[in-house]
Amino acid sequence: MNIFNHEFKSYSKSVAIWSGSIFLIILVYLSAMASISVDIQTFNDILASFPEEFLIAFGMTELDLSSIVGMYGLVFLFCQICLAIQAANYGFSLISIEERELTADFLLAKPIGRGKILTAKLLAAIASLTITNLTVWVSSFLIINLNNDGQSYETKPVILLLLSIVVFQLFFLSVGVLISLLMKRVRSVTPLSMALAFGMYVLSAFGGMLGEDTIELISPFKHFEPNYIIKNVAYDTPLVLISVITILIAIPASYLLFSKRNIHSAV
Amino acid sequence: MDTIRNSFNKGFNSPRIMVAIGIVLGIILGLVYGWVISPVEFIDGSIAQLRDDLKTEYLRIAIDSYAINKDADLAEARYNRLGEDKTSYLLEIEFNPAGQLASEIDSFRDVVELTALGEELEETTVEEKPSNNILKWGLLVSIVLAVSLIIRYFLVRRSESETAPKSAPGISQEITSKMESTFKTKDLEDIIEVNNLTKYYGKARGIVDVSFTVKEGEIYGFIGPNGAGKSTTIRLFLSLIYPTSGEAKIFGKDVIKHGPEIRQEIGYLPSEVFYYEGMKVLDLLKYSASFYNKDCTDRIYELSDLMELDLNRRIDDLSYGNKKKVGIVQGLLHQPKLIVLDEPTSGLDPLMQQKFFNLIREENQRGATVFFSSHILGEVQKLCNRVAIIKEGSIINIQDIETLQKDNYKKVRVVAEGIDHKRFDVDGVSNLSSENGAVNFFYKGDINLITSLISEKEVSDVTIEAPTLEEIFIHYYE
Repeated sequence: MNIFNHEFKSYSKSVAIWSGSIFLIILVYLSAMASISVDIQTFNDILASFPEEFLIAFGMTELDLSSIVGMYGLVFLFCQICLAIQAANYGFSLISIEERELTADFLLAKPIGRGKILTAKLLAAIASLTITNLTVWVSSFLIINLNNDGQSYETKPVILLLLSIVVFQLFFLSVGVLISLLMKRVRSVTPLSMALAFGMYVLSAFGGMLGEDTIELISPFKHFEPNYIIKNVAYDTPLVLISVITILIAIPASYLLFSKRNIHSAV
Repeated sequence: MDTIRNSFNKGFNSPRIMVAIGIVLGIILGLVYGWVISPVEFIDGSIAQLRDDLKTEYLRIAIDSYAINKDADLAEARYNRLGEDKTSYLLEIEFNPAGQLASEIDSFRDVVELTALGEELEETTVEEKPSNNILKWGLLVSIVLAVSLIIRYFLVRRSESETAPKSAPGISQEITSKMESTFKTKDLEDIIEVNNLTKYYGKARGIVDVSFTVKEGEIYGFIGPNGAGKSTTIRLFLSLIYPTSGEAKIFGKDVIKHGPEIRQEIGYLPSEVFYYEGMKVLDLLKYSASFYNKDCTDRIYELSDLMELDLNRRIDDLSYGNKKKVGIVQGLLHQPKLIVLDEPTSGLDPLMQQKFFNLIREENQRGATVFFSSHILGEVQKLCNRVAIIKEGSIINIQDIETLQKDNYKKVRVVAEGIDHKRFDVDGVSNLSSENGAVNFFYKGDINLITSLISEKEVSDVTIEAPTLEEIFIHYYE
C-alpha cells in the first residue's frame, strides 16, 4: 500500500497535465468543428479537394460531419493518440525509472517481494490512467452537450467509444512495461513511448493506404477505430480480442521477466 | 498470519502462480466483457431486427383482424396481451372504412412498436445471449491459458539451457576454506554464509567461486580495487541480481527464496546516491520506514540529528555528501541486525566520517553485524575485525586485521652512511629498495635475525613498524 501511495502521488502532476490537455483538445476541436458544420457544404467541398491519401491518413474518409457524434469521432482519434502516449509513458517508465535514478537499489533492498512491487506500481499507474479516463468521459459529454444546441443525439456510439479507453490504455501500459523489461537499459522514456504510440497510429492510418492489411491488425488504433464504432454502433469484436489477448500475455510475461531481472548498478 | 504472508510472498516469486494469476485475471476480464460489454453490442443489433419483426407481425395481425372483420371477440383475444386501452384502439380500427386502414395502421404501429411488446421481447433476448457469450469467452480464456503455458515452457527451457561457465573449485577456495577453519568461532551464529558463489554477466566476469562466512557481531571488511566484484557480491546478498551458480545464506536462509523476510533485518547503504524526484528528506525516510514492521520515527530524528541532516530540504537540492547522509540514515533507521555498506564514506568530510564510524561501532555494540565494502584501506583498518581481500572476482585472502598487520610483515627502514642494501637481501625480505642512504624493505620471519643484521653496522636511524593495510594490500596485488 505504501508503494501504491507513493507512486500514485508521483503521478498526480502528470495526470493533471494530461487530463487538462485532453479536455482542451476536445473543447477546442469540437467547438471549432461545430462552428464549421453550420456551413457544412463548403467544408465538404474543401474536404473533397484534398488528396484521397491525405483523407485516409487522418481518418476523414467516412467522416460524417453532419452530426455531433460524427465530429466527436474525429476528435476522439486525437484523444486516443494522447491517451496512448500517456499510457506508454507510464508503462516504459514503470520499472526503468527506478533503475535510471538508482532508486531500484533503495526499493528492492526493502523487505518486499518483486511481485508485490510490480503489482503496486501497476495498480498505481492504472489508477492514474483511470482518472484521465474519467476526465475524458466527463469532458466528452459536457462539451458535446455544449455544442449541440440542446438537440438530442445518439449516446450509444459515444459510450462505446469511451468504454474502449480502458482496454486501449491497458494495451499501451502493458506493452510498455513488457518492452522496457525486455530491454537491458531504458535510457530515455519519451522517445520510446512516442515511437510506440505514433508507430501504432501510423500503422493503422497508413496501413490501409499502402494496402498492408495484415500489419495494421496489431494496432489498437485499428482495433478501436472511431469511424467503425460510430458507423456500426458496435465493436469489431475479433480485433478487440487481439488487444485483450496482447494485454493478457504482456502482464504475466512482465511479472515473469521482472522476477528474474538482474538490477545492474549505475553507469 | 505469518504463514499466509509467507505463502503470499512465495506466490509472487513463483512464475507458475503468476501465470495462474494471469489466467484468473483473464477469466475475470472475459466475464466482464462477456456480460457487460458484448450484450450492449448485441442488443443494438437485435433491437433493429426486433423492430422489423414487430412491424411485420403487427401489420399482419392488424390486416388479419380487419379481414375477419366485425369478429370483435377474436380480435380482443388476439390483442389481449397489449393491455386494455390498446385493445379498444384496435377494435376501433377494425370498424374503420377500408380507405383509412393505411393511416390507422401507421399510427397503430408507432404506438405498439415503442411500448410494451418491444420491451418485453427485448428482455427475453438479452437473457438468452450471455450464455452464448460465456462460451465464446471461455474459449478465449483457454487460448490464453494455452499460450501462457507454452510461454512458460519455453522460458523454463531457455533458463535451463543457459549453462553458465563453471569454474573448477580453484586454489582460492582451498585457501579460503583453510582460512575459514582457522578463524571459526564455534559459539557464534553465521550471519552471512557464502558458498561457491559465481556470477557472470553474460560472458563478463562478476565474481567466481567466492566462499566466506561472517559471524554474528563482526565488522567484516571487504576490500578490493574497482571492478573486483565487491558490489556484485553485495547485490547478490540483496537479490538485486541472481547468481549464476552457488548460493548465499543470510541468517541461515537462502537469499533468493526468503528474500523479503531476510531484508526485514538488513540495512543497506548503496554506493550510488539515489533520490526520488521532488521528495523531501523526511518524506523519503518515512517512506523507507513504512516498509518495516516497527515504528522508526524516533530513530529517524535521532540519526538525522547525529548526522546533521536537514529533514525539510528536497533531496534533489542536497550536495553529494548530504545525499550520502540520507542514505546512511535510511539504511540504519530500522535498527537492522545486519548492516551492509557499499563504499559508504565517499563524499563525507573527515569529521562526518568519524561520526559515521562511531555510529557503526555503536550499532555493532548493540549487536549488529556489519559488512563493510571499501577500497579505502585506512577506514577498513580503523573499523573492521576481519577482512577479505577480493581481486578479479576471487577472494585471495581472509585474515584477522591484527594478524594481517602484525604477524605478517614488518616495515623496516634503516638509515646509515654507505650502507649496501644487498646485505639485507635474505630470506623473508621483500620490496627491498634504497634511496639517499636509507634502505626500505618488508620483512617476514624471525625478528632477531634482522635486528642482528642491523646492529652489525653503525646506523643513524632505524624504524621497524607494522605496515599500513595499504602497503600490505599493494603487496598482495603485485
